[in-house]
Amino acid sequence: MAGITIDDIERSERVRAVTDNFFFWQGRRFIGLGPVLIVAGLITNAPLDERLAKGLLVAVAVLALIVSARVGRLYRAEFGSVRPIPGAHSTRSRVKWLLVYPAMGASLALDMLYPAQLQLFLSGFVWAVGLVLYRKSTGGGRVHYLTLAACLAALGLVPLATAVTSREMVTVMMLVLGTGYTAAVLLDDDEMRAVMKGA
Amino acid sequence: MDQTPFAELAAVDRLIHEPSRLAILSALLACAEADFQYLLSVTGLTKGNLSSHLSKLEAGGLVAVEKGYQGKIPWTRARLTEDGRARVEAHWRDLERLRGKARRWR
Repeated sequence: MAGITIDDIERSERVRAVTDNFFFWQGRRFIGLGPVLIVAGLITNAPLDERLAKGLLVAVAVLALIVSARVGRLYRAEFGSVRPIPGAHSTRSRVKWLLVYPAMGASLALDMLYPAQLQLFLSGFVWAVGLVLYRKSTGGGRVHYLTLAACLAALGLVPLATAVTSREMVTVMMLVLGTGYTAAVLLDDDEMRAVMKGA
Repeated sequence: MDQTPFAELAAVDRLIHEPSRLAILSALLACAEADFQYLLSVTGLTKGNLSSHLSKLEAGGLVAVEKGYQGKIPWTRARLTEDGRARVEAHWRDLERLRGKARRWR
């Protein structure tokens, strides 16, 4: 077999998947998004002055962008760089912007606006699907996203069993997602390094 | 009588069908262009081995290598040629087909 084993083929498949989605696999680039989600969750239902709350969120978001840019430079120095194929992911972009993000936004709006009418926390289910699609469309692997998605989906059932409303659940979800996402991006980095080292 | 999947593998493109070169070409198949540092990271090869494989792939018409300087720092970038992309894509289709056959053959 000219020295090639099934393991070599599977490794080359992982190399393809990581290279095709290299930006998304550089987990630490997105480390700032976890705190952004946590702050967004905390200020949603907190008795804070609206301007202060918005200012805090913007400050954390700006910090996350700065961290992302700096970490991106470190990744480039350590692993080198690739230039993506133009238009290779146009379907993913269309589905993301026209379907997934609007659905996530709409579910959040419904949960916030109609807490008394909703017996389920819609965002838990919709955001879980969004996370599964994110994993699938960015090269698979990274099973931790399935765990995080399962946690979000489970949150969807909480209003059925407790007195917590869907509006209050937004804060809970953002805290769970922010914490889980922070862990997930660190695991992304580990998995990317494992592929790079030929594991 | 049908050949076994293993006998069929004897007919594959030998320039592509080598573990390190398959990894290099698979990385290049997934992007427009990659720099030398990325290919080093993704293959785990030494600089000398990577250069040697790239030279063979360039000589075989699969890969185009471009070198230059940014200030005083040298850079090397590689990409698949049009023919190379077609051959590597076809090779991957064969590998996937043969892998499926091998599973059924077992």
